[in-house]
Amino acid sequence: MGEVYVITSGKGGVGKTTTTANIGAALAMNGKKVVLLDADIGLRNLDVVLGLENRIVYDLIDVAEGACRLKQALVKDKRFDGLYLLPAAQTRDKTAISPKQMQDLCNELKEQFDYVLIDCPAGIEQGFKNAVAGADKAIVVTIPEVSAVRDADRIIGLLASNDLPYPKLIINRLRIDMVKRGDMMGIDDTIDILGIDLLGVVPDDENIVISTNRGEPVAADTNSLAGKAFRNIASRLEGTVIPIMDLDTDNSFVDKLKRLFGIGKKQ
Amino acid sequence: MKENSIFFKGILGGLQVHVDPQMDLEIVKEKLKEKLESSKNFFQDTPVNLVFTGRDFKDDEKEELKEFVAQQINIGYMDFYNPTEKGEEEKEEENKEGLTRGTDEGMTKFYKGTVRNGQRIDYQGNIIIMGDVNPGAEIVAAGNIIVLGHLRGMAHAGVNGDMDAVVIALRLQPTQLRIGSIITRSPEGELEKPDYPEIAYIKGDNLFIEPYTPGKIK
Repeated sequence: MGEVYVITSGKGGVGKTTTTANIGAALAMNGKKVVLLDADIGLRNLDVVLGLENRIVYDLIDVAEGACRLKQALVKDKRFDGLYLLPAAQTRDKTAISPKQMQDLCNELKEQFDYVLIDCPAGIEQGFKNAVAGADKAIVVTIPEVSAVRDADRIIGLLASNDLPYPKLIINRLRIDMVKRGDMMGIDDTIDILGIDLLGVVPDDENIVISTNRGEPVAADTNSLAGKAFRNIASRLEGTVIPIMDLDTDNSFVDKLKRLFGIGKKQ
Repeated sequence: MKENSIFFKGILGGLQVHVDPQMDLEIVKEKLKEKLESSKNFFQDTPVNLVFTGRDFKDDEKEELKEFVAQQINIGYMDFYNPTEKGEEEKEEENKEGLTRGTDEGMTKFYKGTVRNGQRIDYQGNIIIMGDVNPGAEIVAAGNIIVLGHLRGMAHAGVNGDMDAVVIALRLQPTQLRIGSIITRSPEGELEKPDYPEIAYIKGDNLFIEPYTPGKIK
């Protein structure tokens, strides 16, 4: 029996879809059987990020309405064995499915897969309610900006009232140089407000934009720091203990010497 | 019909109106008008808080009553306490404590955990939060508010107009602080964040914030 995770944020544009795609890809690389469920009906993106747009025949709503069997709607990934996508319908809206139907669907999926990852739409309305209905656990994605952290805080409260009391946190698009200058919230500042366990920190990385546009998850890229961060997150979900990556690349000999004498920047 | 079973009682910053459960809305309005007119001089233009007890008002009745009262006087705060399954007497006892002995003694609500953005804790008595209050959260109490953690959201102590109410937090960094009828906000721009507990109280027309040290409270 697998586990159903919902990946949510409240605010839009913080990287829910990218995170879902990359954690899914990394889990599949570890040999797990994973299905990614796009709950953003009417504004679907997960298929594009995975580069599977042109393979969609049936979607989530078709399955819910009984127009096809579940197996027919699942799109198998072209690179990773064991990775599947259940796409959202693009020509419908959030009211086309009910929380009860989502629950039934998730129960059916977790019979067959190790991990079910639900890509939640932005907002706190019907789409959110649908996405969390079938989930066993939740992952909250935020970026180190005040507005995103506010929304994450709101979402954590709403998750608690939906029987998902201890979500895990992913801080996305962190820029360590800006944090050092005091221009961006750091990891500690963010956790201080949200008060939940940290699942991972993903540095801001140009490769994400490139790979997203190409439809190739960055998790497969061994040269990318963000890719490594996503692989670490996947391993943590599987229960491996991996410390949070040291993002401070500013480790020249002079810096080390300065630190030794206590005149350099604190790490 | 018991036409006379409505009575008024002065509470800080306004009136408690106890209405017989069977009383007709029109009669309530009539009696209320009489009372408000006779005490118009007393209230002058200051906002009056009204707390209704006894009768179970329906939502549309509440709206009607609000509109009606607004035509007569300047309303500050209007609240309704409905009789529950509890015995009427017990309930009344509870109200009396919660409503009229706000800051010195009376009912206290304990909340364990973080109060997050979009959540609101509302109580006709004192409130103690054992956790943080995050930005976007609201704590509203008739009496004092004590936060055993960071207070980063909005807190309103003495919501019925009690100017003796205080707000204490281990870290007092509210977006907005209200005590009684006074509303304040933290100064604009970057400011130093003290790493010690603080207390907020009203003296005269101003809200003061001071380090909270044992024995400080008068």
